[in-house]
Amino acid sequence: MKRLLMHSPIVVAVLWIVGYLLLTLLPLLVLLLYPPPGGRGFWIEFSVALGFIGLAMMALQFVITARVNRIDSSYGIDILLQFHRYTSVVALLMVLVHPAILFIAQPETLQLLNFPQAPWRARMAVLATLAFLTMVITTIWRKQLKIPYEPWRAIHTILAVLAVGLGFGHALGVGNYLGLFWKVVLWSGIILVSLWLIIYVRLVKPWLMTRKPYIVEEVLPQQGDVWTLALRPLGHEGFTFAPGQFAWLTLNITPLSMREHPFSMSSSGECADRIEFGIKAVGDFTSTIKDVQPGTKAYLDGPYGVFTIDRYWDSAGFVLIAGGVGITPIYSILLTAAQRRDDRPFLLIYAVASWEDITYKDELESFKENLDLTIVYVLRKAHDEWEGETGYVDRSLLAKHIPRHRGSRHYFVCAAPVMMAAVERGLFELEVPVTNVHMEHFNLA
Amino acid sequence: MRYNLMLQLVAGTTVILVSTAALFAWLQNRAEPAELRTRPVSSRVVGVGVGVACRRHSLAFG
Repeated sequence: MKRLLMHSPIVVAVLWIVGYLLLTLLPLLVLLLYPPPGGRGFWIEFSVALGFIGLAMMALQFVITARVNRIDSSYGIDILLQFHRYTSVVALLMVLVHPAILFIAQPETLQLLNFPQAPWRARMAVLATLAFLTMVITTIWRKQLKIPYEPWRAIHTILAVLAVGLGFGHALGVGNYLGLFWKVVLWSGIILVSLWLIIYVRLVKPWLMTRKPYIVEEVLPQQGDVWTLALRPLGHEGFTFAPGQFAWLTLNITPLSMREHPFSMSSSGECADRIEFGIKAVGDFTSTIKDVQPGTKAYLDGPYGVFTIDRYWDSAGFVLIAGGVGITPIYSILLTAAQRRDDRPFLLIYAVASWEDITYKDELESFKENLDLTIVYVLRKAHDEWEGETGYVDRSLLAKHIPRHRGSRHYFVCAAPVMMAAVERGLFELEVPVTNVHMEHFNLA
Repeated sequence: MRYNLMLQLVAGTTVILVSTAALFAWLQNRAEPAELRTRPVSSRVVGVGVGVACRRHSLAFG
């Protein structure tokens, strides 16, 4: 019973949310033990509480984004990052409402905005708020502001540390609720753990990665403007992975440079000594993959992700839905299943622009020798002789191909966001259980 | 759809967080019971706990 409960996505979600709320609220509620004198009025205390909750939420963001496998393995990194984005906006609102209430309830506090004459505690509050605001704006509108991914990541990290550090400095400076030594120790512990996590992710982990380098063995062109980047571990055993997972790749520079990119592995999960990635040339970094020379050094942080059939060993079969380069993790799933001689039925629905854009076509067809595999190609622009599916993967197309007993399969979808949303809606309308649908956004940035 | 569900979840947790902030403010700001205000000082410092702790401080600074 306990095992069954711990495998229920709803139970796991409830436990995580309760844990999140406790971690956010307990540091606030302990401030009520031996509190400072009251009588400042409800709104002032409410404003202070929002400030502390905002600070705790900011500190927790470091935990959410620390790539802790135990946390990631519940829902996947893209879900966690989306949670990170939403809760960051909530935290920012609390941080902004905190002084706004003070200014309304005690208009004389507006003088604290006079930066040159304000005390340090107020200056730190202003700087922390500006750092947080800048961080959220440059994240939400990064593409519109034309900020490249790599400098954005570095700026994001620096602003995050500044916002939390200065925010805590402000709370210490005010000292009303942090007047007792043990309260300072408790809050310092929370802030130090969060800062340690970012130091671990950005410095310690990259340094550990330098001790396990990889070397580019070859770069092979595939159909559909996709390149296979093959890496071989140098002086170590590499790693095995669950097919469908991804890793952060650093190429030709030290991993300490924070210029890493997430890519799904396209090779067999059981082959540790040659790890391949299928990379489509769509951005600044990916467009340079074709020019990478064999012998180039590379570093990997992984594997990560829950987009894998290995978690559903008792499923009666699988429906895999890919759009464009979203075939990469699904190819790895099929390749590994073929090597394992998995006897369950697989249905692959693969949407591409045209027949010429089908990546891994010959390999996919060859899997039919070892797998119970049905492939449905969906072409947006088909030639005249084409008798297969055309257009988009929508409800009617799904209804035609997916098994009648919807809940007997697990469904894996990897495509561009628009297609993912359409497929998700179609599967929902066809009464596929939500817990049987697994999706991965291949653009995490 | 998953992101919509998560948005609802985050909205729900935000309501809980803001409600707790309001509870915090109310606890810290609530008026002392009249009987406590009229008691001698020595009888007011008793026990441990959130409510009692509030009274201790109002004693100290009041």
